Amino acid sequence: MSILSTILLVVLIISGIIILIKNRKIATEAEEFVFSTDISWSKSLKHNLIMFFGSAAVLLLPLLSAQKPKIDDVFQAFILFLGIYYLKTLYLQEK
Amino acid sequence: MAHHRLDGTRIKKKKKDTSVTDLLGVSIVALIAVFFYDDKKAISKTGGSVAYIFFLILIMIAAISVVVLLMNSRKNKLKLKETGGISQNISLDWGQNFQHTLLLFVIPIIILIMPIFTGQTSAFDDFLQAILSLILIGYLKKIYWGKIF
Repeated sequence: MSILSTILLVVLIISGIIILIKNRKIATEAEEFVFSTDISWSKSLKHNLIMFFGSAAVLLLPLLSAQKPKIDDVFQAFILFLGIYYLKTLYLQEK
Repeated sequence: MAHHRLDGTRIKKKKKDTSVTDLLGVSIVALIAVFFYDDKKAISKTGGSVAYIFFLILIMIAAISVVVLLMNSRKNKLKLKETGGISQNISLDWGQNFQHTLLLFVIPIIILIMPIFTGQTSAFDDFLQAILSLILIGYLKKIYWGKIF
């Protein structure tokens, strides 16, 4: 692993744990943690565009350094796609 | 008989023509396999070409989905004009915030760790991919919650 990736990994793990603990503290202190928002058509479209073009961009990135996309790039793009698709089912539930 | 109504008429079963799509999918996979079969090649090279095919298919899917989205959006706009309604109000709770924040950090971590499992050396690309996914999921959080953290 290169040094940059290792640094990013450590920063992500530490900051993730800190922010999740902080969020949990805020939620348990408040009586009711409910946030209401409007879901419009444009938000749904943005979500869809990020879902498809984001994973396509992850696959395209190795081309910048003149490499063929390898099998791990496919897995990485697939994981990003699944994560964003899960977020879509979380927010935009069809009635 | 269970397939008849009380007045004796037969209940029509909903026919799903999945057989055609199944046949199409299997034949496409078989075609790819035959096209890339070469016993002089090393396995790693075959894996690379399979990844390349997946990549091309994904680009095609993205292009088709954009066309479908644009067509749908025109239909949706017309529907919005007719009803006069603009949006749908939803209430979000703490669990959704937690799950989004968890994904915000877990997906870049998985992307960074992935090359270890496939036995390839991590390059600068993986760093860029992790940063890109962090930005995209953070932007989605800003869309829904108004703030990232």
